[in-house]
Amino acid sequence: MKQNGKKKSKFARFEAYLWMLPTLFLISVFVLFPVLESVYMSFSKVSKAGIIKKFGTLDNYRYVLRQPVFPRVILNTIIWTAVIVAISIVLSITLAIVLNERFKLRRITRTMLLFPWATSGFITACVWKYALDYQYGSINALLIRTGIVRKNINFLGHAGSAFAWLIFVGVFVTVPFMTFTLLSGLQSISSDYYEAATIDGATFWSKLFKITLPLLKPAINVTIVLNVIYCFNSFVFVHTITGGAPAHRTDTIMTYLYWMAFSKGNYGAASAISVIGFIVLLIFSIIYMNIQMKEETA
Amino acid sequence: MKKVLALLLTLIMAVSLAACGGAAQSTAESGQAEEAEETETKEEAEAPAEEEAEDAAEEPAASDEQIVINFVAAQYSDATEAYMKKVCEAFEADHPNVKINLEVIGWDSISTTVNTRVANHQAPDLYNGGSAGEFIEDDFLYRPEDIISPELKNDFYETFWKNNIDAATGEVYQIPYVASVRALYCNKKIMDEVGVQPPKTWDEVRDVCKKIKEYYNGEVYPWGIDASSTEGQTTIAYYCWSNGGGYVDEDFNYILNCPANVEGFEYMKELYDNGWTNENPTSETRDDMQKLVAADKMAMLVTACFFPALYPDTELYISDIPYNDKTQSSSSTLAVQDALIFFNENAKATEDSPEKLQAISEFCDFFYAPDNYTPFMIQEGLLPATNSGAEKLAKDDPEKAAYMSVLEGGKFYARSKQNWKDCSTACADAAQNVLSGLQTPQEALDEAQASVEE
Amino acid sequence: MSDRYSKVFRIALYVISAITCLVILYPYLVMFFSSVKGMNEIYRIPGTLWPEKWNLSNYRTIWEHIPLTYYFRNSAIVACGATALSITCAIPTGYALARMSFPGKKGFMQFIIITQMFAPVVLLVGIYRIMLTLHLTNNLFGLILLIAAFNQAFSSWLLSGTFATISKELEEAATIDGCSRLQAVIRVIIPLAAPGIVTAVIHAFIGAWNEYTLTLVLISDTYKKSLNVGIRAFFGYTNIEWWYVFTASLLTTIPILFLFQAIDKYIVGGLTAGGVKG
Repeated sequence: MKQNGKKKSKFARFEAYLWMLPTLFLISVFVLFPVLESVYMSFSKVSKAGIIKKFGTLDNYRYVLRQPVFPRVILNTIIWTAVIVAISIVLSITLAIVLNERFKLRRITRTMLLFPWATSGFITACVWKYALDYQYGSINALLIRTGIVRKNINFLGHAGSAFAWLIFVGVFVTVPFMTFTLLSGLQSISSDYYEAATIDGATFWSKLFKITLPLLKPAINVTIVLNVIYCFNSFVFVHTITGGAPAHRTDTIMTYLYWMAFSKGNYGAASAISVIGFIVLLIFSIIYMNIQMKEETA
Repeated sequence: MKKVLALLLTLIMAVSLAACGGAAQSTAESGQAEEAEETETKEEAEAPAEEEAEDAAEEPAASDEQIVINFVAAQYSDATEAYMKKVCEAFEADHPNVKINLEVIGWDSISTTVNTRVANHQAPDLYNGGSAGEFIEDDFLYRPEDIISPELKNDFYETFWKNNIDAATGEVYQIPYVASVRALYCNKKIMDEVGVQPPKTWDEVRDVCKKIKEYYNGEVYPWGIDASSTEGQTTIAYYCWSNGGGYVDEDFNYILNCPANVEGFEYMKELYDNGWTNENPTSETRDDMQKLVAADKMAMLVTACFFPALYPDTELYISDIPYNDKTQSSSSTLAVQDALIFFNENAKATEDSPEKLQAISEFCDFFYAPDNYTPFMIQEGLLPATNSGAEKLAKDDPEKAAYMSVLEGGKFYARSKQNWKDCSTACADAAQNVLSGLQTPQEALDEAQASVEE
Repeated sequence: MSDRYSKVFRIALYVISAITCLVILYPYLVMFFSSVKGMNEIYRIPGTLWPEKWNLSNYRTIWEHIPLTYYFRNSAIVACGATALSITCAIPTGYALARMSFPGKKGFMQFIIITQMFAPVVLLVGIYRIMLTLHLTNNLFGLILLIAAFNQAFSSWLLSGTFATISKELEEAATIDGCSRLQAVIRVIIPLAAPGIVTAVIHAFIGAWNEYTLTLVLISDTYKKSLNVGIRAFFGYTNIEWWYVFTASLLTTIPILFLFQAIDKYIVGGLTAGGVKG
C-alpha cells in the first residue's frame, strides 16, 4: 500500500480536482461570473437602465456610505442574523435531541417540522403577515376571544416590535432545516458511547456536554456558517412583511439593496451595497474560522 | 438498507433523467397545451404560406416572414392574462403573419424582470409596467409619435399626453395605457350617524375628525393615511397640492422642501398626532384601509376610483380632496396613468423591420379600439385614457363615467422628470420619517430634496 | 435505550414536541380556514377565527383561474432535476474534501463558501447575461443547472461533514477487497452517509421548489412558469385574493409533504441498519 501511495502521489495531488470537476464547472460558470460582473458594476457608472457606462469610479460607494440610514441597515442585518442563528441553534439542538429518542409523538413532530420547509418562503411570509395584522389578524382575534387581551395589539406598527416579529418568523423557518441537519449528525454518533457512559453512571447533562455536543460540533459548525449566510441573504420575509417600513428602520442589507436597485433604479449603488455586505460576511467568516482553529490547536 | 438506498438513488437518477428529457420536450408540450388556440392560428398562418410556396422556396420575401411582437403587460387582476390573450389572438386572426408573444407579470415583480432583460439588451417591443424616464438616458425608446397612427394619438386625452412630455428633452416617449383617479371617500353610515358632511377644507377635516372621534369614543378611525412604501409618494399629492405645494414647479424643478409642502406635512402629522387616523400609516396600505371603511371602522379615506366597485355593499359619499382655504389654494385631484413604452433597436438584439413597426402600430389601434379597450378597463376597475374609450364607457357604465370629468382636470405625478423613481421613494421615506416621529417635516423634506437633486 | 433517562426527561420530550407541533400547525390552520372563506368573510373586520361558511368550491374553481397543473409539473421537473444534479455533483466533491489532501484545499473550501455570500437577487443582471450566452433563457434545463450551481456550496459542505464522520477503515477494507475508490464510495460510503445525504437531498429539493426570482426573470413562457411565480396572479393591482393564494399554497404543499413522508421512512430505516453496523 505504501509503495502504491508513493507512485500515485503525482496523480493523487490532482485526483481531488478530478472529483470536484462537476462542482467547479457549475460554480465557475453560473455563480462566479455573475459575482465578478456585480463587483465590476459596483466600480462603474451605471445608467438607470442598468447599462455600464464607465468603469473606474468609487462614486457608488461614496453614495451608499453617505445615505443616513445605511449604518442602521447594517446594524439591523447583524442583529437579524445573529439573533436568529443564536435562538435557532439552541432550539434546534434541543429538538434534534428530542427527535433522536423513541417516543409516541416523534413521528408526528418530525412530520410537522417538514411543514415550514415544504412551504415556500413567500407563502410563509404572507401567512404570518396575514395572521399578525392589527385589524383582522387571527392572532389578535385569538387573544381577544380567549380574554388574554382586551384591545388588539399593534404587532407590526412600530419598528421595534415589527423587527422582533420578523425575527420570530426567521426562527420559524430556520429551525426545521437546522434540526434536520443536526439530527443527521446525531444519528451518526454511535450508541456505544452512551452505553459506556450509562454504565459509568453519567447523568443526562454530563452526557450532553461530554459526548453529544463535542461529537456534534462539526455539524454545528457547518450549520452555523451556512445559516449565517442564509439569514444574511434572506430577503423575502422582510420584504413581504414590513417592506423595510417605517423609513428603512426594519430593512436589512438585502431588502435595502433590492429597494435601491428596483425601486430607485440605482444599480451601481445596489452592487456597491452587495459588495459591502459581502465584506461584512467575509469578516465574520474569517473571525469565526480563526476562533475555530484556535480551539482546535488548543 | 443498501437495497433501499440504491432504490432511492436510482429513483433520483431516473427522475433527473426524466426531468432533463422533460425540460427539452417542454417547448413541444407547452405548444400542445395551447393547442386549442394555437393550431387555429397556425393553420391560418400556414394557409397563405402554402399558396405562395413558390416564393418561399426561393427566398422568403420580407413581407411574408412571421413578425413576432413581444409584449410584456402588467397584471391588474387574475383575469388580466385571459383578457389580453383574447385580444392578442383576435389580432393575430386578422394578421396571419403576426405573432404576439404576450407575457403578463404581476406588479411587484414586473420591473425586476424587464429591467434585467433590458440591461442585457433583451427588451420586449411593448411594455406597460414602468415609466419612460428610466430608459431615455440610454436612448432605448422609440418616440410613440413615429409609430402610432395620428388618429390614435389624437384620441388620447390631451392632459394625459402632455403629462408624458419628458422635461429634459421635450419629447414624448410613452403613451397612456390606463388611468385612475383619486378622491375622498366617506362612509355614509358613519357620517350620517355623527351628522357631519364630507369636509371641503382642512379646518372642516379637523372639525369632522374631532366629532367622529368623540362620538365613537375612539372606536372608529376618522381619517386614513397611507404612507406605505408603495403609496407614500401620494402624501405630497394629498396634503401638499391642496396647500399650493407639489413635487415640481412650473419649470419642472423639484420643490419638495418648499414651505407649502412643509406645512402640508405638518397638517398630516397633526391629524396623526391627534389620534384621528389609523395607527400604522407607514405600513397599512390603502387596500387595508378600504377594508376598514367597508367595515364601518374608518370614516374618511382618500383612495382610488376602483374602491366602490370592490365593496358594492358600502354606501359612500364621494368628494374632492380637502384643501387649505387659508392659503388661497384649491382642491386638486390626483390622476394616475400607467404608460405603454416602445423599446427601440438599441434595447433589443434584433432589428425592427418597417413591417414590424407597422404591425405594432396596427396592434395599438386594435388594442385601443373602444370595443377592446373599454371592456378591459371596466373589468379591471380602471378608466380609459382615450376619448373614444370614454364615450363607450358612458354608454356601458354610466356610473363610472362620472369620474371621467374629474380625470380630465386631474393633476399628475412628476413623471416628466427622468428620476421620478428617486423622487417617489424620497417622498415615501420623508412621510414615513415624519409620521414615525424620527424627523420634523422640515428635516425630512430637506433630506428628500437633497436626495433628488444629486 | 428507553430507560436511559429519567421520567422528567420523558415528560420534557412530550412537552417540547407538543409545543413545536402547535406553533407550526398554527399558520397552516390559518391558511386552511382562510382558503375556504369567501371574499366577504376574508375582508371582514374583525376577522373570524372559524369560517362561517365552508366554501370548499375554491379548491375546484382555482383550476379555472390559473394553469395550476402546468405550474406544478414545471416546479416538479425543476426541483427534481436540480436536486439530482446538485447531489450527483456534490457527492464526489464532498468526498474529495473529506478524504483527500490536495494543494489549495483550504482555499477551495473558502472559495466555495464565498461564492455563496452573494444572493441571487443581486446577481440577476449577470446571471441573465450568462444564460443568454448559453442560450438557456426560457428553458427549464437552464434553470436546473443554475439552481444546482447555487446549491453546490451547501451540498458539498454538508456531505463532506457527513463523510468525515465515517471511519476510514471500512473504506480501506473495501479497497483491499478489490474495489476501486469510486466503487468503495458507491458501495460503502454512500449507504453509511444515508441520513446526511437525505438531508442534503431534502434541502436541495426545497431550495429549488421555493425558487422565485431566477424563475421569474428567466422564464417568459406562461406554460413554463413555476408555482411560486404563477401564484402571484392573485396579488392584483386592486386587491389580493387571499382565498386563492392559500388554496394554491395548500394544494401544492401537500404533495411535497407526502414525498417527504416517503423519504422520512427511509431515514428511520437507515437508523436501525446503521445502528447494527456502527
